[in-house]
Amino acid sequence: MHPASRFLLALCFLTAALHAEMPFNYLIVASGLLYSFWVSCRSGFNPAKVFAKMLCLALFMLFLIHGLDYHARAASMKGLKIMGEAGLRFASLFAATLWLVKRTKKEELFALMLALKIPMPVTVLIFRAIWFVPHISKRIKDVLLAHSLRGVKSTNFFRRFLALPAALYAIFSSMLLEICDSSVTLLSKGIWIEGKKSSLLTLQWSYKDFLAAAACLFVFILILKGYPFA
Amino acid sequence: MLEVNDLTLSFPSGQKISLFRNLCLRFQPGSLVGVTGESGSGKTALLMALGGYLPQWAPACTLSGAISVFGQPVRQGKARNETSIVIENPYNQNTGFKSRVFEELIVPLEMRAIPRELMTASAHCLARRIGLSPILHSKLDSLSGGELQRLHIGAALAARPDLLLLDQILAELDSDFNQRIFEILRTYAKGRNAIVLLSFSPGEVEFHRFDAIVNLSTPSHVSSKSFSTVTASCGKTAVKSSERTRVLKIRDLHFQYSPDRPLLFDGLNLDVFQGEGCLILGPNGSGKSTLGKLLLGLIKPDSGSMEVSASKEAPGAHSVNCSFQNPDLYFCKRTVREELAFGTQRELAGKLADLLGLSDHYESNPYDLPRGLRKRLSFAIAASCQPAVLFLDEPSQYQDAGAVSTLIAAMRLIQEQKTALLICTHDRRIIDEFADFPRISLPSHYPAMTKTRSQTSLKTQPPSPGLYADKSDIGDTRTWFRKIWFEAIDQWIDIERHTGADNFLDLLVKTTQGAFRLDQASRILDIGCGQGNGLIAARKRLDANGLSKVRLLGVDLQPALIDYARWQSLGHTNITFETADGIDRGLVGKMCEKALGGKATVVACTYVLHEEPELFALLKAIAAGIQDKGYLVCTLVDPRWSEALASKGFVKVVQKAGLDRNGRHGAPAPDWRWLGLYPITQNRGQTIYLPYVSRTLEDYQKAILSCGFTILSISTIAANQTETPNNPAVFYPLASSNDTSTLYETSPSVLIVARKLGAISKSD
Repeated sequence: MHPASRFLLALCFLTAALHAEMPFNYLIVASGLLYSFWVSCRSGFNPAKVFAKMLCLALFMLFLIHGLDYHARAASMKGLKIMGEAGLRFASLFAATLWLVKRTKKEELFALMLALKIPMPVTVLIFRAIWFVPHISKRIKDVLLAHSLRGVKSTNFFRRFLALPAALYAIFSSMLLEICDSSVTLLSKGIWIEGKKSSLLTLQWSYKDFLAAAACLFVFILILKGYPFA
Repeated sequence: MLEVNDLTLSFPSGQKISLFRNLCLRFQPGSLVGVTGESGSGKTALLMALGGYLPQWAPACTLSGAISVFGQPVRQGKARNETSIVIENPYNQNTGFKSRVFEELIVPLEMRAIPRELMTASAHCLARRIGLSPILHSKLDSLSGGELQRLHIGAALAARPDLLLLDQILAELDSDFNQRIFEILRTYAKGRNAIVLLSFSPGEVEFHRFDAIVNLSTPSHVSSKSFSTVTASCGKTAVKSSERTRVLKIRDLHFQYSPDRPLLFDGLNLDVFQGEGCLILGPNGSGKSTLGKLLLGLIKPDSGSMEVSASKEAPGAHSVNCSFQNPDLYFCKRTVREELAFGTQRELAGKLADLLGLSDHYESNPYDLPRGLRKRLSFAIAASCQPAVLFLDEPSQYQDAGAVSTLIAAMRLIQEQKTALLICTHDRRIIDEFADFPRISLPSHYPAMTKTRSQTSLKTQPPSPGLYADKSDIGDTRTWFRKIWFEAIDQWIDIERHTGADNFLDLLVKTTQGAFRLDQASRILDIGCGQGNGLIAARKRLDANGLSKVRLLGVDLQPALIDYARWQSLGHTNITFETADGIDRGLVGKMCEKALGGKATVVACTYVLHEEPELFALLKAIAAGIQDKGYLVCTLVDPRWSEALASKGFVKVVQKAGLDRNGRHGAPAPDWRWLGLYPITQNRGQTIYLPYVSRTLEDYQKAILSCGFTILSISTIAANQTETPNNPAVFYPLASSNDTSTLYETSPSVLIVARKLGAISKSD
């Protein structure tokens, strides 16, 4: 499938999830989440675990912010509802992003960017942003290992939390070096050369793309008509 | 030419320090230049300045003086597109846009808008040269440091820069490739008239390998005195066999990353004793670092066991510690002093710091140190944790000769502390020093990386210029055709640069449909670079005739194009050439007939470089096609194939004549001979029309005469004339048949008309 179709499907999913009324929206997001966790990974890196952790952390923080009535020292139903709505938005975004990351290869996205003539600085930013989570999680692992070899144990959550400042220092300091190296390399490889670019990968449309477009169109029409969610 | 005048570079490191002052350099095109100096002497800074990368690399440094490359001034922050750099850390050079080797290799080409077919071609060609072919479709994550560095060298070469800067790349490469890289770089520099600068640590490479050396003097802030004083005091440690305590036991270790990757360990057994050690040797990608990961428990073996006993001296410490290839992961404190005090045995850390020249940098931030010092610091930290087993991954990387000596002394000191050392290295100095250690030589998992052309048999790999792959790897004929075609493309930028033909490649790709022979690369370049410029002339003719799709006989591009042009000039505008794929056996003959209207002048010319069934079939087809007309097939073959040719039904080789023309323009090796002409029929040929290839006219004449022909006239095309069907004067007779000295330079082709005496009488 063309990566543009995947983006269209993700957008369609987000629109449907955010426009639908209770309980359809929860149903859609839950299905989306389940599907994005279940679907096989084409891109070579499966960030499902990291995404799940991040989602749990986000929901926990939302619970702390909205879900608790600190005056009454009890859970607040109104707050829980707000938390649910905010969580829904988070979860739908997580599901769409996870699905895109799992199903879209870097090469496909790059070819799409080139085809759409997206300026290279934007392309670089998008790539850095999308793959920041996997990149940083790998780096954290490396740094924690290096630190554990020096006796800084990070075997459980609490120890990890304590080890975090030292790890963050190493992570960000080494990332500064990486940024310097990376910018030289990108310059050397011609990323900033202006003008026409070519792409190794030919993005082709197939019947799946037409089906996807038709399905999205159908969903958009349903949303506009207010059926069946409203 | 690269010119540097009065270059001064100041780099703030606590206090403002000049790395070099009033540096003046001048290098000619085609030079391979070495840049050397101790850690912190400014090797990297110089390369960055020459490339115009300083603001990206170190925004705070200041530069004065002038740099110009091929007449263009280098402006910092505005790097030239014709400059490429490979930096010392292979892990920070991926663009992030790609996940596999092949795709990453062609990023510079994508950015330069190279057509897809040519990118593929160039990538394959480069991969073969730098030994990446076996891992071309591997994931980037799975590559070792050396493999990654090869990839980045390949990507830099792919961009075809005229200034190539390589910063301490040798540190990551294995010894085999260290030898080959000089050959590759020298060929590149000479072939492209480029300037290549390679920085290296003192003692890492012999100076005679370079055309020039820039030796950056030791700046004041780098201390070397601590190196010499302590080295002498550390001797080798002798451990009596009765005292031996096993600290590491590996039994029947099997490991493979994935089924499509090579089996790295196939039943590895290893015992390492307290205070002793082991050398782990092997080329890039053989699994040295993987062994470290296995020991640290980062990855699990497929089968087998590993037992490590805990350190007795420092029970809290990890039983295995590691000095990683990438030292930047280790540091978590603001100063070197704090780093050395954190989680380590402080007395030992202090000793090591003194020994390794780190004590002068106690108050520096670890990330401000040069990479060589960072590497030493990471070693000092790992070693002073006093593990039972210390795994050292390329400890001598980025170290000069003095630093390696102190590093060796430090390793001996660690041994005295009863730590067992597992040393992964390519460095001969360390291997020699620890000759008493048992060795594990891990095999290369990629035969193609170590096999040289001379080692392969002629049957599988005849000496084609630029063709490095084994035929057995290539598969079916059609694929083979495509692969060798790719090799030719490698020269495309030269052609464009020299000819100014904007869409030259479009023309090539469209017209040949990927079928022309790759060994023609040199001759395509001949045409492109020659003043006569036959290809461009041919292209103009194609355009003038409004032919949007011309298919060429996929054997020999240049003669085919020239012939095409000739026939066009003779008024035959409706010629269709066919590719070699799906040959119609009678096609060539029909083509000739059609082109010439049965009038009598025919030529089919081809190279035969390989015993390739399809090519022989094609030759036979040519022969069959023109047999009735009774003309010649002119072939150029490697002498070693002459018998094979004869056995394929070709008339015997008539004569060996003429050497290759000094191997110019990337022509085949000097021992190649122009074998001569193959008369298809002995009596019926009357006129020979012979395309001028990259041989001397004299060679042709000799060959023609040896066939019993009499040369009637020799004509050529003036370089400045445009050949058109309405301009019959384009061929003009040479003043003398001996006048061949300037012919090659001024004309792309020559027309020889000859007659065979016997044939005259018959036809008359």
